Order: sequence, then C-alpha cells, then structure tokens
Amino acid sequence: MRKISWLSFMMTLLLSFYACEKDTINTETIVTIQMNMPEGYSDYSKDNYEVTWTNLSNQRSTTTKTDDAGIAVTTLSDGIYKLDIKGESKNAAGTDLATFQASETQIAVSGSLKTLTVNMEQVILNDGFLIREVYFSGSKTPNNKNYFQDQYIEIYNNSGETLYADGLSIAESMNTSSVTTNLWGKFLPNTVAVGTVYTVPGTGKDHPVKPGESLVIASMGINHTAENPNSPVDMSKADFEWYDDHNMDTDVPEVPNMIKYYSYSNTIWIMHNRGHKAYMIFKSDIPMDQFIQKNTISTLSPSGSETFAIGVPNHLIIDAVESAAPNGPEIKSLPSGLDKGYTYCDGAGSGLCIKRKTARTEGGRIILKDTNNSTEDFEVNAKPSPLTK
Amino acid sequence: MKLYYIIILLLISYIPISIADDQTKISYDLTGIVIDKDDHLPIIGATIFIESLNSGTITDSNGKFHIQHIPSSNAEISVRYLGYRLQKQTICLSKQSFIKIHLEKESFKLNEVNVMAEKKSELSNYTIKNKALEYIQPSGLSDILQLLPGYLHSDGSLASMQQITVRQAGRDQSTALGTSIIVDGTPISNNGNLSKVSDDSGINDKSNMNGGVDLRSIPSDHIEEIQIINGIASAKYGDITSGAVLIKSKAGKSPLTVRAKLDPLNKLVYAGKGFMLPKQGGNLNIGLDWANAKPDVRNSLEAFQRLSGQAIYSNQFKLDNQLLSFNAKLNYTTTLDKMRKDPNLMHSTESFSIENHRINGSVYGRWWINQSFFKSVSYNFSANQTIDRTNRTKIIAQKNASPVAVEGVSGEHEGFFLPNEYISTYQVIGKPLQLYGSIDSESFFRLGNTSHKLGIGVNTQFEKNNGVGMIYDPLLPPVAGVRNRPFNQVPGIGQWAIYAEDQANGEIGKHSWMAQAGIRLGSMFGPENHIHIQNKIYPELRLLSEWNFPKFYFAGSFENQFSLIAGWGQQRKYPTMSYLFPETAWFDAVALNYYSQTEANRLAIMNSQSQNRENYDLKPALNTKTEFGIRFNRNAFQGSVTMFNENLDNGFMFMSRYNPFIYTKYEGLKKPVDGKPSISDFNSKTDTLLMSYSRPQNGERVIKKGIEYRLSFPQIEIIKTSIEINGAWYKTTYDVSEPIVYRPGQQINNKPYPFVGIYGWNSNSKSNEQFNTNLWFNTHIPKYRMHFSCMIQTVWYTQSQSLKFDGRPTHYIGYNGEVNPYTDEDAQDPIKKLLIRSFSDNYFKANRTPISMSMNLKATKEFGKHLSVSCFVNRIWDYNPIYKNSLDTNRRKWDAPFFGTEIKVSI
Repeated sequence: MRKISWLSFMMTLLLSFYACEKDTINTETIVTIQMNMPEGYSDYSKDNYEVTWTNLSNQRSTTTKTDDAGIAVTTLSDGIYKLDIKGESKNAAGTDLATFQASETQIAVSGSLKTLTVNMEQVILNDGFLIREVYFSGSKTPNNKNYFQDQYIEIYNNSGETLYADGLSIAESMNTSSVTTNLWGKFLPNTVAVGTVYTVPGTGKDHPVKPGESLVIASMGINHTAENPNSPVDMSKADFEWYDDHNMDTDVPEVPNMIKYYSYSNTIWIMHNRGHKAYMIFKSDIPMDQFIQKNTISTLSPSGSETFAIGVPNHLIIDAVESAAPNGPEIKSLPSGLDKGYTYCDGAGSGLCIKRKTARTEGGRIILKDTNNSTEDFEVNAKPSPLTK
Repeated sequence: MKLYYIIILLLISYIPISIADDQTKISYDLTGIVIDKDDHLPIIGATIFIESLNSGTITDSNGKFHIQHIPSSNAEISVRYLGYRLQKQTICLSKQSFIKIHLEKESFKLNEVNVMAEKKSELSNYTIKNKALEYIQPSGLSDILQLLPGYLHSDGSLASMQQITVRQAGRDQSTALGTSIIVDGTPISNNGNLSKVSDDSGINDKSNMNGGVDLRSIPSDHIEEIQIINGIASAKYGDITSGAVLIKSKAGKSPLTVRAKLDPLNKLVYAGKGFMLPKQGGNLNIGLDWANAKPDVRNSLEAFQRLSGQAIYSNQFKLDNQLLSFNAKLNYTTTLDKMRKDPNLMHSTESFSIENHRINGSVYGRWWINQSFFKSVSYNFSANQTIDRTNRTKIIAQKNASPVAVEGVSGEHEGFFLPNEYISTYQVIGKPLQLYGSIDSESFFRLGNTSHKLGIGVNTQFEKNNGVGMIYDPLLPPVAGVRNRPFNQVPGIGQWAIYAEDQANGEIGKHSWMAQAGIRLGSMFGPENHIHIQNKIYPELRLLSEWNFPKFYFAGSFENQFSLIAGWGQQRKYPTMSYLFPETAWFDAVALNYYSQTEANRLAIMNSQSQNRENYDLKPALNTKTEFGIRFNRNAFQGSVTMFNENLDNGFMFMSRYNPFIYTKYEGLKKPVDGKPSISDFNSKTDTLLMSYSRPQNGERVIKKGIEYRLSFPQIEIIKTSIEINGAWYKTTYDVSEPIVYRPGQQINNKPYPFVGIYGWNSNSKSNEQFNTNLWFNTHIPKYRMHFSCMIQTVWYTQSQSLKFDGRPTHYIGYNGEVNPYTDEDAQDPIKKLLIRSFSDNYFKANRTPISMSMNLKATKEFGKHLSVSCFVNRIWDYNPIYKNSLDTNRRKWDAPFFGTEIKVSI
C-alpha cells in the first residue's frame, strides 16, 4: 500500500513537471541596422554610433555600437521596439564635426535576420544665439478683454564671446501644429515653411550682444504694466519692435523697428496666442531681398486656393522651438533634427511664457540648456522675465 | 407716358356718368333690423354689406338699416359685428322689403366654427377672423401666419426680432420691407427709420432699418380680423413688392375680456372692453396689452417687453341723410429690448436697451351714400409718431493704440490716440413722423349684362425723422472713425398715388367669369437730384381673372364646380429714407503714427476725405407677379392649387465700391528730435490706398416660384372632425442683378492687393427650396363646447445651393481707379490671375436636409358663460433622422417640445 502511494506521488510529480512546461517558446530575432547618412553628408564616418533598442512592453533597453559601415547587429526577443541612434563624427577630410541622430518607434521585431535601414538626421547644435523666452499668450485686462500688445521673443547669447545681431531674422512657422491637415510637411526635413520674416537691421557690427545678455524683440515697445495692470512686462527698453505699416499697428519711435520682409497677414502680425506654432531664428547667407524671392514656396489649401510661404533651408536655422498644445503637436512644424520634442503654454491671455532652462553657471554667466529637445530644454507656463537692459 | 395713364383714368370715370341713366331702371330698397339672438336687443353699428353690388350700410341707433338703389333683385347680404358670428343670407328683394336679422355671439357651442384661414375667391388672399384668431393663441402677429400653407411652424416667441416672410424658402430684407402692414387703412411705415449702428456686434441685429416692421410690436389682441394678401394685391394698396397684411381693429361694444397667456419663454396679459356711451354717444373700445419675453429663462438680465394701449371711439352721423361711420383711434405701443452683462462677472458692465414708442392717432370711417352709382366713400387720416431710443454702454479694447481722425475736418490734420481700453456710452435717438391720408370710393354700374364694381381712390403720405441721431463723446467713440449725422437734417420724403380698379362680373351661358383690372399711378415728392424718382409718375397694372365652369353633378346630388384663376400684376416699392439719403462716408488714412513712450511727445497725423454716397439713379423696386390656379368645389369640399412666379430684379441693397485715395505719408525722422516733433521733421512720400464704401443700389434680385395647394374636407360627423391638407413647394433664388466688387486678400510685396475685381456673382447668391405638407385635424364638439386640433407638419425636404460661378471677373479696377475689361492675358498674369476666385469642390454642392415631421396640438374649452381655457403643445412628437450634409458630416435636427396655456374671461 505504501509503495503504491509513493509511486503515484512520484508519477504525479513527474506529470506536473511536464504540465508546467511552457507551450510557447520565446523566439529571438537577429536584427541588423544599416545607417544611412543624409544627403551631402555621405562622407561622414558612420563608426561608433550608439544604437539603443527599447522594448515598449517592458521598457528594457539593449545598446550596441555601429561599425565603420554603419551596421549594428543585435539579438532581440520578439516584440515591439523603439530605436534610437545618436552620435557624432567627422567628415572624411577631418575638418568638420557634425552630430546625427535618428529615432523610430513601433517597430515589430519577429522572424530572423531582419534588416532595417535607418535614415539619420543632422542635429544642429550651436552655442551661439538661443531662443530664451517666447511670450505669445498675452494677458487680460481688468475688464477681461484680450491684450496682445505685450508679446515678445527673447534671444540670448549663450556663448562666451560677443555676437552681432545684424541680419538675424525671426520667423513663425506657417504650420499650426493643432491642425490635422498637413499642408507644409512635404517640405520637411530640409525646409521649414514660415509665415513671417522680420530681420534685425544693420551693416554687420551695429548691434552687438555681449555674452550672457539678450536681444528682446517686442510687438510694441512701451511699458505695458502701465497700460494694463495685468500685463507682466515692461517693453519700453526692448531692443527692437516689429511694426507693420498698417493703421492698426503703432510705431513707437524710441524702439527701433525690425525690417519686415514677409508676413502672411494683410494687417498686423500677432503671434498665435495659444502658441501652436514653431518659432525660429535664422541668418540668411544672401541679401534678404534675394532670399525672399528665391525661397517663396506654395501649396494648395483644402479650399483649392494656392497659399504662399517662405521656405527657410534647415542649415540656416540657428535655433528653433516647437511650441504646441499641451498634448503635443498633431503635425510637427519642425524636423526632429531641430527640435525633437515640444513645449507649451496653457491658454491664451494667461500672462505666462515658455522659457529655456538653465543648464549650469560658469563664472557668473548663465549657460542655457540646449539638447534640441524642447520637452527637456524648456519650462512650461513660466513667468516672463526677459533680460531687457 | 404718364399722360397716357391719366387719360385712361379719366375715361374710366366718364363711363359711369353715361351709364347713370340706366341705373334708374333697376333699383330696390332694403330695410331691416339687426338683433342679438340671445337678449333680443338691437345691435347698433352692425355692418350690412352686399359684396357683389358694393352696396351696404350700418345699423342706426335703433338697430335699423335702410339701403337704397340696390341694382339687383337678388342679393347675398353679410351682416357682422364685433364678437358675433358673421351671418350670410341670400334674399330676394321686391320693391319694399323688411327683414329681421339675428346675430349669434361667437362661441364654440355653435356648430361649424372655422379655425382655419379662409380663402377668398381671388388668388392668394386669406382671411382670418374671430375664433380662428383666438384659437391660435397668439403672442403677436407672426403666430397668425402659421395658418398659411407655406409657413414652417415655429414657436411664437417674442425674444427676437421678427421680420415677415412671404412665399419663400429662407428670408430676405426686400420681402420684409416690401410687405405692408396696414392697420385700419393706414400702413405702418418703416421708411423713416434711420437708427442703426453698424460695427457694433451685440446690437447689430436689433435694428430693422430698411427692413419690415418688427412683428413683435403688433399685439394680436387688438385685432378683430386679419387679411393676408400674398399674391397680386388690389390696386388700392401700394408701396409694396411682396404682399400686404390688412388689420382691422376691434371697435364697437364688447364685453370685458381678460386674457392671460403663459409659456416657458413668454408671458402675456390683455384686458379690453367696449363701452356703449349713454345718450347714443357711440362706443368706446379700450384695450390694454402687456407682454414679456426672455430668450433664456435662466438669464434675467436679457428681456423683451411690450406694452400697448388702444382706444377707439366709434359713432355714426347722418350726412346728407345717409349714415356715416366715424372712428377716432388713439394707440400707444412701446417695446423695450434690454440686456445687461452680469456685473458680478466683470469689472465694468456692458449693456444695451432699445426702446421703441409709437403713438398713433387716426380718424377713419365710411360714408354709405348708396346712390345709383356711388355707393360709399371711405376716409382715413392718421398721424404716427415713433420715438426710438438706443442706449448702449460698451467696453472697447483696442488691438493697438490706434490713431483717430477729428470729426468734421477734411484733409491732413492732427488726430489723437484713443486710450487702450475705455468705456463708450452712446445713444441713438430717432423720431420718425408719418402723416397719411386716403379717400377711397366704391361704385357700381352695369354695362350690358355685366356688372362692374369700381373703386377709385387717392392717398398721400409724408415722412420726416426729427431725431438727433447718435449722441456720443467724440473722444471715446463707440466705433473708430464714426461720424455723427443728425437725423433731423435729412429731408422729409413723401408719396402720393391715385388708382382706379374695376371688377367686372358676367355670365356666358352656364359659365360665369370675373375680370379685375386696376391701374395705380404713384410718385414720390421730396428727393432732389434723384432723376428717376423726383416728379416721375410710375404706373402699376394689376390684372386678375376667374373663370367658373358650369356646375355639374357627379356621384350623388352634390354640385361640383371647377374654376380657373389667372393673374398678372406689378407692385412697386419706393426707396426708404436711408436708401435715398445715406450718410456721408469718410476715409481716414493714417499719415503718421508716432507713438512715443512719452505721452506728451505723441503725434498722429490723419488724412480724411468725405464721400457722398447718394445714388441719384435710384429707382423704385418693381416686383412682377404671375399666378395661375385651379379650384374645385363640391358641396363643402374645397380644393385649390395655385402656381406663382415673382420676379424682383431691382431690389434695394447696399453694394461696395472702391475709390483710390492719394495722400502724403510720413515715415522716419530726418534727424533726432527732442520733445514732440512736427510734420516737417519727417520724410514724406505719396501713397495710394484703395478705400471702400457702400452705396445704395437697385441690385437685389429675388425670384420666387412655387406651388401652393389646399384641400379642405367637410366635417366627418361621426368623429366631429374636419380635415384640411395644405402645403407648398417653394423655390426661391437670391442673387444680384448688378456687379459686385471684391478685393482679394493676398499681399503682394507686403502691400495690400492692388486690384479690385468686378464679378457678376455674390457669395450670398443661392437657390433655396422647400416642400411641406400640413395635415390638420380639427375636432369640434359643440356639446362640450370644445375644439381640439392636431396638426402634423411634414417638411419633405429643404435645400440650399450656392449659384454656380466660374470665379472669373468681368472687369477689374486698376491702380488709378480706372475700370478695365478682364482679358485672357490677365488670367495668365501672375498678379492679376489671383482675381479669379477659387472654390472648394463642396462649395456648389446642394445642402439638403431630409424629411422632418412634427405633431402639434391645440385645444380650447369653454366653461360656463364666461370662461375659456386653452393650451397648446408643439412638437409633442417629432421625427428627425440623421443625415449627411454637403460636407459629409452627420447632422440631426434637434428640437425640444414647447407648450403653453391661456385663460380668457369674458364678462
């Protein structure tokens, strides 16, 4: 009797081992990445780029490096992944260093020996002029009416030497990121469509900006706190103001005017007050008149009419920020190389702005954070504090 | 041209004199008495009328009447008095006759109470009276229109301005302006209304200048009978394009009546009584009405109020041994529209209030001559003074510190900067005065075996607005660039007209026919320089005819009869004061905008130019109407189908124009200046702007086509219910008959687009259609003294479609204001090709809403001798399916039910 019960117990134990055995076998796939440099940069080295695979279900990452040919081989268990490649390399002559990156998501990995070609994008980092604050939301008067006259954009000299603002242009994107119709996406990533171009006047060295100081460009250069108690800023000491030659605009003589080269508006330019646009600063390499003529682009709107804009080539853009709705842009205005993420300011008339964060301080000079990712680089709903003189 | 028409008029008036001798051959007298059936007392002032012979009179202080010279031995007389059922009787006259007529008080205990609109034999002419009027439970005039076939049912709310529509899908201002509302013979004129503040959103839609009378200002409780003419009106009525609404006020003796009506949006109370004055001093009928409406029950700060009091003194006198009825009326109606923003939500408050006071005094009546030719003469003299006052407080927040020109100054001058935000308070006061007088005669004569009813009359009207216009602080204007134009500086305008209209009746064998021809000659006096209006006489010809086929018998012993009706008519509307004398437009260009941070150093230089907007080529608007109809009668069953076509090609509208404006522009200081600069410190250059203004023109086109049908079944005894089916199909096209200017919005080289295109199309040009059927079940139970209606309205479809256009202009205005034709080369030019307007694929697609059905109930019950209670429920059931519109979006009509009740006490 005892023998039989001991035997049956062993049998049950054995059986349970088999029963516990998993029916599904976890397959793995060998995935090969082939890096593709953007046009004009094919002679840059592809070696030693960091390749990161992140499994979207369990958020575990695997990292490898690319070889000379820009190939990286990884073994991954099947699933859905996100791929990030980044790094920097010199060109064949060794004279220029450039940063490149690529990012793709929702990649289904299954089967074996899968090959993926990834297109790299150039990352333009600079430590010269940076957009520090953009204040587009405006404020409300005590009677709860809109007040947009206090809008401004602040440009900061993040480098250690004096830079000159002459010929620097500010631009607002044509694309409104909250709109789902993609009219201007066909020009990306090499050209960004803009609706306004206002340029700092000067012959070349007329408007210096010292390290750690800012250039403030205002909509109207007066002390707004005196006109509207709820306005957060005094723009009477702004460096420049943008003026549209229209009876709806006001010219403050004490603040010099920007040169207006292009505006989509027939009347006056008011920044999109909920910030669903991208803002950028660029410097043209040819005279501005020729630049405008050469870079006029157009597309067809849903109503059938032709809409015009100015297309700014990617490589001329010094800094850009993708501002959108709090949930993010429906369609990005900027290529990821210029700004991978987005930032925002809730609600029009809030009196708040988007502000670039401080990375560190060096000997009394503030250095702002710039990783070409405004999700990381910018503070949302910040209190305006432009560094006017 | 005008002489030709006067000759015709004179000829017509000669005919009776030559016929006069014939009259002495057939001549009967009729004598009688009119008595109240219940209390057997004589009724004083009751009207006895023989429609076919234009003969009639009123009862004297004993209730007796006497009519002479009746030119026929058979007559159908109708006897009426306020509050009593109309009595019709066919009598056979011998040389001397005396009849006793009993009138019954109108009540639901009587058989056959008619609650629908009655259609007269002439085209498109509906009469609504007595019980039908009360049964609707109206708050105002627009509720009464619901009985007409093509009107889509809506809740009677006084919360928003109501403009009349006539035979159309959609609405337009020309129709409302061109429909005359005539109360006791005097038209309520809106011609002198100049009160409108454009550019003030918030009260923009509260003004009815150049539109029709606001229907809310006409309380329904003073009305005894209403006649609505949608088709070709008699030549007696003028200054109309679309139609006329004839209102007859309650006059005479009547019991004290108090009526109270309540529904979720409106409250109404009415009290009225007709007193009989002692010693045969006549009657005094007094009525008082108060109504209140709120567009949103939750918001007590926005409301509409109406208060109306009317007193009519009526009596009769003997003039030349014939009775003359005399009425003297005094009416005071005031409406108040007001809104105020919640002071707890805002720092300061915005508000408006629009008051309208109308005082009317009239004297009118009819002299019953009853001669062999002339039968009666009606007279009407009235004076209307309206005072309308708009009070408005508005918070103005500027987009920028805009410079403003100084009023009254032309050319270059120093302007000033408005504060960034300020409160503007202004008033608009208008005081239009209208004087009206008319004399109309009715006659009768025979020519061979045809009988003729002849109407000849003359009327005249004068209007002047004595208001001061807009009162405001020029340093804190309600709209930048507004200029004051006192209304009392606008010249007065007037009209006169004479008409002659003959209605002939005859028989050919067993067929009978009617033919009516009327000619109306009218003119305006007052407007100087207006070459098409001043001293020019405009004729209007109106023809109606009816052919009745012989009666025949089919399926039983009932008589059947077919009739054919045809008509053609011209109706003209003369321009209003605002169209004749629009205020001067001003162009203000900013020559210099120097907004220094230091307030004392600011300088604004403006350059202003005035533009006279009067259009001396303005003509009266002419609407030409054509109608055909078939009618079938079988005992109590009536069926009719009417087809119509109306063409208005030169309606009034304001249309844009552009003028180049050349001025000196100042930009940039020559060298820095301390303190406030002057003009000479700046660089200057010449600049040209294209400035736009709007000008009144005969440019509106409205084409109305349609079919109206009506089937009226007699009462089905078992269920005591009568059925009426009516409805209409309307197709209305709204378009422009004069070119429209349009300036594309693109910028060229950062400057506004330099050309203006001229197109034969307007973005408002569209074609609307609607088709509906109303099914009425009217149940009348005399035993319980109640009446119950169930109306099912089915709107089979409505449709709206923009008129097709290829986008190409016919001409364009160039740099110097010169007009050039638009050629194929221009279509290739990179700048000029932008003048071709582009549209999305969906733009010209028809937007169609599918079937929509609703059921509406009404009930009235009388209790005892004095009380009656009514209630109604609109849309107790409805069917509105989901449909896809032209943009491929799912839509559905959503309409909540609406209900109300009223109590009427009659002592």
